[in-house]
Amino acid sequence: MPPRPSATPVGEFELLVLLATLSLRDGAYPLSIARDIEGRTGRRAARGAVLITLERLEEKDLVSSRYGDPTPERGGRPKRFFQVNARGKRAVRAALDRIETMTTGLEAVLKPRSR
Amino acid sequence: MMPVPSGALVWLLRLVSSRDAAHAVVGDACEELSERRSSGHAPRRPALWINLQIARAIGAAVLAGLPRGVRSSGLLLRDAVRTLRGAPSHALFVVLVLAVGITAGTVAFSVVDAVLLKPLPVDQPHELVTISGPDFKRRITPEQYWQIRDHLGSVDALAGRSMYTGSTVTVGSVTAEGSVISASADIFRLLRWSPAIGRFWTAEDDARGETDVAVLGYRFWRERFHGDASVLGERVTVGDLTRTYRVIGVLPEASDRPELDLTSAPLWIPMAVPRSGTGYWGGILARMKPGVSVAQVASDVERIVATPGWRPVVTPLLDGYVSGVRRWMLLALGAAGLVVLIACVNAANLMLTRSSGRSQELAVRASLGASRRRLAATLLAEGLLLSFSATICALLAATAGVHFARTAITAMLPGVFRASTISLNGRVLAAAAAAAVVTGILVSLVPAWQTSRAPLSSLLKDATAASTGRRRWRSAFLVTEIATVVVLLVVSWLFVVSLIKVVGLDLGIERANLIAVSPRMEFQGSVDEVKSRLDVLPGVSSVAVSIGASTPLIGRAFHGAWGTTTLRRADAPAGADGAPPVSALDYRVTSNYFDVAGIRFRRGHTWPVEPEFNSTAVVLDEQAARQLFGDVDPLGLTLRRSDPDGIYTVVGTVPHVYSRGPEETGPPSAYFAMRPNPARKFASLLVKTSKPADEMLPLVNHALKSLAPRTPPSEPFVFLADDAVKVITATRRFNAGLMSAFGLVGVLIGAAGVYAVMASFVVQQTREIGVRLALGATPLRIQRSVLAQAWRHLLAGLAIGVPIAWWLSRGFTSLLFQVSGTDASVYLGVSTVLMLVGVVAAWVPARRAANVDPLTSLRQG
Repeated sequence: MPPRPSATPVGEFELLVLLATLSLRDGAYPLSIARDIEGRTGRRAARGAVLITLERLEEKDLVSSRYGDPTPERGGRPKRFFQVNARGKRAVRAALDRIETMTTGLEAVLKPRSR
Repeated sequence: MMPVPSGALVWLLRLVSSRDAAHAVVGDACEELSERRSSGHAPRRPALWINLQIARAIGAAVLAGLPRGVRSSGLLLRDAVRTLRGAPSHALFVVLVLAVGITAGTVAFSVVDAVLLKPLPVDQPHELVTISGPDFKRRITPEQYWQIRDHLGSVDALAGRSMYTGSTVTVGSVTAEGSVISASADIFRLLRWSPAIGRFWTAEDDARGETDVAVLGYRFWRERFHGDASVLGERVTVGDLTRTYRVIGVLPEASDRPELDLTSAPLWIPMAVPRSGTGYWGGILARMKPGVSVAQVASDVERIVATPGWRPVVTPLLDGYVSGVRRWMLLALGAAGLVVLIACVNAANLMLTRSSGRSQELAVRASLGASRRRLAATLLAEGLLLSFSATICALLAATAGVHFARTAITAMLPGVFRASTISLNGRVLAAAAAAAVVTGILVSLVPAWQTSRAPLSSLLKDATAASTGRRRWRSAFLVTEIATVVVLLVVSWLFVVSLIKVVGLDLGIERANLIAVSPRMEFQGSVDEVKSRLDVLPGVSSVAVSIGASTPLIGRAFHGAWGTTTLRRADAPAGADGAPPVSALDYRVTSNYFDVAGIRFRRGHTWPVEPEFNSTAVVLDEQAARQLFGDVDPLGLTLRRSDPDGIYTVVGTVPHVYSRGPEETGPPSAYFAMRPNPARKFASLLVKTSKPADEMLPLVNHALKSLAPRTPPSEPFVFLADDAVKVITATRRFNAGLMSAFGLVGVLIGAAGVYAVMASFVVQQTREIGVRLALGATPLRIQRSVLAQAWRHLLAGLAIGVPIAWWLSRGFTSLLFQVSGTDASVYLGVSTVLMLVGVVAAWVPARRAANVDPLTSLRQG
């Protein structure tokens, strides 16, 4: 029997972007995603880097994008909203599973590093 | 207030992403800016900041896009290589055909570029012109030269100049052989040179009569004097002349162009054109003022000279060097262009044949999700890969080819301007690369377009659906190719026929086993002594002597003078209207001249040997006889010649001798008896040998060694008549060789094209042929129907090609000899050759069709 096709592997920053996109639901566009990541992790996320990652994810068919309506504070330009599709969600779950699997039994080792 | 981002940057961003995506990026930046403003972190220069953001986005998009593009081109290339490896013979053939075409084009272009197109190596060469005209040296007096010099307003500078080749130059203790240029002082200003050391002579020097000065050529100074400035003041002599000059300067390095005889002479001396009277001076070189046209200079000169019936000829300097070869070189370039065209069309056809066989493969790929664009890109990649491989092969071949062309041209056509500089240069490389890219695109355009156009369902269902369209394309390509081959073949045919006519022409003298002893200067002994040495040489059958006009052919091929005399009927009063004088070459010969030269008498005979001293006999060639006496038998009639005056009686007529070779019309000839003169030291001798002349040549040279004229030892004075004809017809032979090579290549590629297309038709029609065979058609009938298809294409190609060739051939009639582009025989010959070749090429596919097994073919379908 052939092995089941595994979900598309994603990198760490990709995972962060995917998670932020999921949590922002309908309001996920590069700027808000960058703000979300920065706000929650304290890690610097450049808008450009987020956009490129999103485009790469789109090419891998993990997210899709649509254009919103132009708004005045954006100089009359539309937002590009991103949404995680089913494959994307599967990839996120698989990535989290992998991390969970790998962290099992390491609780004691990892404990001292408190936040 | 929101800053407006730079339009150019936004446009660039749109270029690397998409319109909406670019807008969204700019929107994000704007939003971030307003956020920063409200939080008090506004950038100091918002406009700069926002443009920086966009520039970053462009950079990121390019970086992100680059690996993707590279990756997909890599895949395309891999696919292309795999496909081509799948059918190596096909790929090899396409590459070969293209390489042959590109090589022909590159080599021809290299030659033409080096000889014709490169500007002359002087400052603003297009402004330089020579001023001459019919019978220039006799019609234009020194006085008129000065009038032109002083009053011609349309030129910046004007100088008289002439060149003496093969002179012995002595400077101090150094002796060398080379050219001496004699020129008036303005030449230096005209060529925009300033001396490397010392000074040049000036117009004031000329006017004062200080003409005993000389300037050395740069290379001569470098090589023989090691660039030593102490050469200034050295004494200079030229040849045996007693006149001495003094070195006052050296030409600049810019003059050191060995390919240009204008500048490369080792020695320059002043030309003193007298203010009045007569005196020899050379041609006129002038630099036109910027914006002045050649025609304007010509009309100005005509006005100044004011000699009725004389029109000056003003030609750009480069034209003077290349006018002799320009037309045929451009024609050769055109022929090479046709070869390239044939090769490209053929390659396109081969690609089409291939892609029609691959329709199903492409359809499967399309159904698996490959986009039309991607399939077309695959074909395009294949085409480009093939053409780039062909270009690499072609460049290797062209390197060898250009080397060969340079060797062949310098060996066969001595005197072709700048032939030694022929090389594969950057421009040529660029042209070849462009040819490759264009070819690649052209070659794959049609298959790619067809693939992207045919409905997928039909592609999947049956290959023939798309191939019907392709077949039409292939037919069109094949007809184009045949038409081009027809044009090429007609051109080369015309040149080969011209050569045959030139070589076959009866020149009036028998040149087999004929040697000419034809010096440029006096022998170091009497002519009688020379003759007696030759007479006793084993292998020599007879020796004739001539003075006056130069030996036929030799004088044209090597060096000579064409002295003429004016003949009148003795019974007509001088100056009478009824008997116009006839100008004829003035030969004074020994009575055995006709026998030695193989000139056969039409009427009469030569004069007896003995009374040569007082002979009043003259032998005329037929042209002179007809011009003087009309159709009356001239034997016994008398004529009066001028300079020296005398009355002579016609004792015989001989055929016209083509003294200047088959292609030039010279004046008729008149032969008078040569007065014996034991003190004579200058003459030409014709030697008839009983052994092969080329074996006798060294013996003759050896026998005359101690009497040889004082010309430079490298300059021959004994020639084979056959060699002279070879020299005279060299261009003709070279052209015919070149054109027939092009024609042959064209026909071969064309035949391959017919074969390939017919073969693919047969493959496609296998099922139909099977049905027809099953229904009772005989194999012979099938074979005939395939041949008929080939014939139809050939006829269509002829129908298009013949009118084009006919129309084109009018453009180069002057390059042909005794044949013209309107000769029906040419087209008949070309058609026959083409039909034969076409049928032979179609024969194999036709046989294959006839051998189709109906059962197998039906099952296949």
